[in-house]
Amino acid sequence: MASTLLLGVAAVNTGNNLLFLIVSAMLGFMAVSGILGWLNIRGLSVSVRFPDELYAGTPTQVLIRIENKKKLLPSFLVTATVSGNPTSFILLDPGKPQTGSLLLAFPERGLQSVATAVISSPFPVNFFVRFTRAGVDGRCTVFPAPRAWSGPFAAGKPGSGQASSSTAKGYDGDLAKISDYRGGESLKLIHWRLSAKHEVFKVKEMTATADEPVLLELDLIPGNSLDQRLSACAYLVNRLIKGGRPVGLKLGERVLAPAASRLHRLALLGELAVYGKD
Amino acid sequence: MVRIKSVLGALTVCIALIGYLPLQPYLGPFARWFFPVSLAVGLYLQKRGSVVSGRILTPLSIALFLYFASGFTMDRLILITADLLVVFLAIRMLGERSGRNCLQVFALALFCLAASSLYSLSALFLIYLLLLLLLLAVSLVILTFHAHDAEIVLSKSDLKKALSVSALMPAASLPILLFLFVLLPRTQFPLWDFLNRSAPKTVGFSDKVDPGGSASVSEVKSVVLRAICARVPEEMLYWRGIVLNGFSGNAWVRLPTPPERSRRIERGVGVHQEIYPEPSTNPYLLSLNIPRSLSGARYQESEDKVFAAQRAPDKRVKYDAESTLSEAIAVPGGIDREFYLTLPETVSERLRAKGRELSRPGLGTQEKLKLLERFFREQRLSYATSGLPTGADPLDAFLFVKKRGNCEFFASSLATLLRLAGVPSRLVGGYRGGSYNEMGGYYLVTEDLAHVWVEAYQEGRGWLTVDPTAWSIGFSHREGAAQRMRTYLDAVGFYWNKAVVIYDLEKQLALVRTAGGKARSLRLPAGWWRPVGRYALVALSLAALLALYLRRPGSAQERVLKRFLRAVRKRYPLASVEQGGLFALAEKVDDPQLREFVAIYGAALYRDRRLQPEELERLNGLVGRVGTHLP
Repeated sequence: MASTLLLGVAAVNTGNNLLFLIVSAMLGFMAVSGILGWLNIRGLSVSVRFPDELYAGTPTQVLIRIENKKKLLPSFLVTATVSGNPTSFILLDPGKPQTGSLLLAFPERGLQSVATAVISSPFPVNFFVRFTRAGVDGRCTVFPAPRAWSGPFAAGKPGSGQASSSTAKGYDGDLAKISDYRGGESLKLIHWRLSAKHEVFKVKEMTATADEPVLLELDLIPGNSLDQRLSACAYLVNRLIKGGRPVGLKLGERVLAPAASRLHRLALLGELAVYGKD
Repeated sequence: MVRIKSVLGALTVCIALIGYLPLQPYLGPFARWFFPVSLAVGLYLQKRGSVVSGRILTPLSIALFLYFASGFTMDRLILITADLLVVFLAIRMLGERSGRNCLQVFALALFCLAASSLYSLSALFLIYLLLLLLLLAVSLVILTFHAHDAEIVLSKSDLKKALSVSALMPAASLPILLFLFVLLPRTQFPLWDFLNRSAPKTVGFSDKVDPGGSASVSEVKSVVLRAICARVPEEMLYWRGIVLNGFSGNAWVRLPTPPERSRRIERGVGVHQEIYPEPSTNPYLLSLNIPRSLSGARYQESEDKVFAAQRAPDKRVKYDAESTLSEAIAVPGGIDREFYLTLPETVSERLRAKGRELSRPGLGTQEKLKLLERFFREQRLSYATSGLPTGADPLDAFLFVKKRGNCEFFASSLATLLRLAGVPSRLVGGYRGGSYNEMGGYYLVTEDLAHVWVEAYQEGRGWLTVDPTAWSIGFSHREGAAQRMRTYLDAVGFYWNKAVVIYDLEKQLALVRTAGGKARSLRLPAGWWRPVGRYALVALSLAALLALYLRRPGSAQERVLKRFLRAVRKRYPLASVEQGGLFALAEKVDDPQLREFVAIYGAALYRDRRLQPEELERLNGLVGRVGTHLP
């Protein structure tokens, strides 16, 4: 830029047409590079894919999918910035979507949305960085940040006295009875000592461990504020369901029946995320 | 895979070379050698993976700057600047190839090219400029990648894409370049005119004729002027420059002309010329003999039809001249005879005798001229540019002893003899001949065509043009095949000068004026739309046909095959139809769908018939299945 100005002054003052030619060339080049830079960040569609679990304040990897919708022109050196976190793509061919990832942390629980991504690129000439905004329309539910809390469930691990056995057969419960080997049992279950005394193999039949369902009542969980209680609750939901224990939730008057599946856990966390936000 | 860093390194070297080459002939010896040496050392060091540290280069730059700056004078401004630019460029080639340094190299190369335009206005500049523009565009893009990540590695195809998009930039900026070049405002008078002073040239044409000054004259083939005009008969092709009317010792020089009043030349063929002289130190504006008027330059006209510019055309200019191809300049009021009868300091006895012989009463000017022509022819004088007479009385030696000489000898001996015979005479300096460029419609006059002829005064008629050189043996103007070869190259240079170098503000305004005038005075004849409509219709239908031809759908057969191959490639990436043909492919892959497709397609193909609609439908179905159901 400065050199164009300098040459421009020289050209005007010397009346040398060849200098005018250089200046015209540089101005033309600037104009074209401006247009090319503008085109470079046009026609890009960006979408965000959040993971299933997002906790407030915890950086989580988010996928950014970007597609060049132009017909011919590839886009170069594109950086997509979502909520202040950038991810870069060297080359985007037309019609070939690419995925990048970035770490994103939401400070607040609840329904959150990312409306726009900032697309920027220094291409073609690294003198300016051009920006544009692209709608991403990403919505996600941010769960309360889990707060480690040791309450009555601190030792709630299987076999610690809290677990109770179910009537179903299993591998890790108590010994229910001894029966004959029927060909399908695990070798682990063969009672070798008894088998030695009999003609057939004897196998142990164990009960499956099954924990007693827990109903967490938000109002009874200690904490200075609602958010602290929610955080503690989220921690317990994760901890207990991951430990195989069915967990239910009582939020005010609403009761969610205990269950131990992953989907149930996400549903509970979702409830905690939006509790009191309406 | 290609490392961006190495691409950038190679491009930087190319750009530095384009900066250096156009300036190279004008550099001082130090800068001229410093650059290639630095470049070689830089490349060698880079190959070994090391660079000269900035702690050495920065003091070196400062020291060299001080060294060059110490020799600074206003006259040497350009020279020193050019040297410094190249020296800095050379130093940059030794250092690290960081993004910042590369940018400095680009800027310095651009400045070097700009500086070269102050030395030479040749059309070669355009080639350098376009090349530099292309390389700069590509390099700046590569530099952007480099700035993103210095260690970036691109696949060859990605690099190709990046390079082709960046090469688009200079291509797209060309129309803008032309547009801006026409539009950018010019000042009427350059403020930094001292930058434009070009080096003086050796001139064949001079304002002093001193035959015998040297034994030979060298013929320089450099261009003096180009003149756009109609073709003129060869024998009338005299370009008038200067009139030498008196003596300084024995040499003919131009003395202030005595007051006389020449009449406007009415008779004869008028020729309009658009003259583009090359820069020179000689202020005389040349035009076809005999010039009537000049326009487009500031000049002073003398009575003897000499047009002297107020300053030498040291940069490219253009002027228009009106001439009449006539053999005499009428001077109704008569002339200062005494002034035109003055003799040189030394005139040999033989010459005086000859003069006395001619000055006998009863002989008119025409008779005297005839007698002199006979005398010259009888002497069998030959035209030569080497082995010329020298010594105390070269004219005597020319006429009576050596009998060879160039136009200066012929003209000055004739003029002296005429004066001895009582006929006022003077020498006219200029050029004789010129090669006509059919392509450009202009005459090219070169320095080797410099010529001197004589004007003799005849009472009642005025100054008559006499060219005694034509009376010699072997005087002819040669136009060889090589000359013709040169005309094409010259035409390129000529149009470069005409369109670019002397382009000016007035021309810009004139362009606007004529365009505006034309638009205003556009009168369409009644019924103009009929032929226009007809042409438009023809053009439109041609365009439609062309569009149809270009966008013709490939036959259904071709399309299904294309889709099939695409689907196969996707499903069996390792199988390739290039290695054997469709049947071989079906054999190799052993897929019933493929085999069926090939059987139907092959049956139609090898029996040279088109596919039936139901066959086509079946094939399309097969392709769909090959494409979607992955094994």
